[in-house]
This record gives sequence, structure tokens and C-alpha cells, in this order.
Amino acid sequence: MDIRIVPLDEAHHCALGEIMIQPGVCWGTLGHPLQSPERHRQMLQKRSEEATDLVALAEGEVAGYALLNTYSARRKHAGYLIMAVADVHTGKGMGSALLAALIETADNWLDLRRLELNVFVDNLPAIALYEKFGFVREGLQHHFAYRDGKLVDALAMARSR
Amino acid sequence: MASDIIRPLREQDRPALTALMRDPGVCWGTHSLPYESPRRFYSYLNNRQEGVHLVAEVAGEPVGHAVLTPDKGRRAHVGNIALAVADSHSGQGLGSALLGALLDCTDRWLGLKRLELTVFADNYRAIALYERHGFVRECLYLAHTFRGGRYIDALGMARLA
Repeated sequence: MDIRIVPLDEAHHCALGEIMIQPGVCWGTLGHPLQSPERHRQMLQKRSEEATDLVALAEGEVAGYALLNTYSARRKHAGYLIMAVADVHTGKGMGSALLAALIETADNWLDLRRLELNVFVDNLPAIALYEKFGFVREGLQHHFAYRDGKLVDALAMARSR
Repeated sequence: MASDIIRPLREQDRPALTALMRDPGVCWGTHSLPYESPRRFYSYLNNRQEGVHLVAEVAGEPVGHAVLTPDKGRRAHVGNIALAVADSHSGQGLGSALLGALLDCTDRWLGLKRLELTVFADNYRAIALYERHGFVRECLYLAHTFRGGRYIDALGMARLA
């Protein structure tokens, strides 16, 4: 399959709003099934110019995205990332392609020393992906977020260099 | 100690609190800067307008500040806590009084299920204070923040209701 990673563009906003409400995406992120695509679009429009926002295209179709926020002042060496892959495109290497592109940007162009993320403790494919790219577990955050009627725990992970 | 008061933040406290944020001990224990500007600190306060802001007042002067910021969406049960006490008044129980007042407010009035905070890993007095109030260590964040010329680690701590 032809996978391309491109910077986020306004043309992708509608497709991403639809991806954000898919069951698998809600399960693995902080989205919920009735979140309006319009609100998601507003959130994307408000992203800082400093942020690195990437989209994965599978055969030209929007299949996932990854966001990297950088902090400022005494934490300007650190960044926080979020990822989501469309339910029909999981398991095809989208996450790997997105994460590789974010890390290449962070290491070689932004000089970030530390990348952070949170992942639900039962999201085993995502944890394996992050570990493959050098992220380590820094702790377990209890009752991190509500998901489908229950409070679930999350791992804090980071990649330092 | 009879004249110590814990009360909500008022607009006119802002200059005194900004000055307190420049104290060497406060910069050592928080993300503040030695030349913390009103613009930077007021923007910090303005970004937390939804929060509960308390001031510790001694002899009519604001000498401590605590803020509880509730999270949103699927993390609406979570609140984040930050504390600062002026160098001239540290070790007099003001941190404990501020934290106690915040916890009383969340437990009796806000109903938050999870309170979380970040504290530098070598700030033993603050860690002991948080542990006395029921916080437990969840995460060790490596190279979390830059302080005095080098990167230092931080603990993630949380208290579940």
C-alpha cells in the first residue's frame, strides 16, 4: 500500500473529524463518539504555528494523524504527542510511518530532548509501537480518563536523548 | 500565625504574587523564572480562569498561592494542583494550609475523583507535604525541566477520591 506522510492541511480537517469519532479511535484517545466534527475542525484551526501536525495518506485517502506540541521556556526541550489511525487502516504501518516522521522532525530539526505521551494501559499495539521507537514507561496514572462507562488507567511514556 | 488567612485570589494580589514567583526558592521548586514578568505570570493565571485560586495572606500581604485547575471532557474528573510560597514564609505551614483548603474544596464541593501534580524529584519537603495529604508517586519523568543550568527529573503524583 502507498503510504505518504504530509503536513496537516485544511483540506484534511473534515476527514479527520470523521476519523476522530470512530469506535476504535475513541477507545484509544480522548475523543468521544458524538464529538462534532465542526468542533474538531475548530481545534485543528487553533493549533499553534509551532506545532508539528502530520497526516498519513493511504492511496491518497486520509488514514491517520499525529500531533506534536512543544512546550516553552524551562520545558522547551520537551514535546507531547498524540496519534490516531482510522479504524479501517489499523495494523498496516500507518502509526509507524507517522511516529517515524514525528521523531525525525523532533530529533533532527527541532532539537527536542524529550518526547512524552500517554497511552491507555490496555492499548497493547500502541504501547508496542512506542517501545519499538525507544519510548520507556515512566509510570502508571490511575483513573486517567473515563472510557465507555469506566475510569481507565494510562501509562506515561517518554523517549529521551 | 493568628493573622494567617487562606482566601480566594483577588485581582489586586497579582503584582505581589508575580514578585513572589521570582524568589530563588520558588524558581527552584516551580517553572517560574528569575525575571518572571507580569505578562508571563498573568497569562498563566488567565489560562487557568476556570480554576480555584487561593492566596495565603500574612499580616495583610499575599505570601503564597495555590491553584486547582479542572480538566475537561473525558478527564473532567481530574484536577491539577500547583503551589508556591514566598521564600520569606516557607517552612511555616502555609503550603499545608493552602493544600488543605484546596483538598477540602474539591472533596466537599467539586467532587473531583483524581487530583494530580508534578513536583521536582529533589524537592523532598514538598513531596513529604503531598504524601501527608494522601498523594502517591505514580511516575518519574526524566529530564523533565531545565533548572539552574541542567535538566532535572520530576515526580508525577496523584490522589484518588
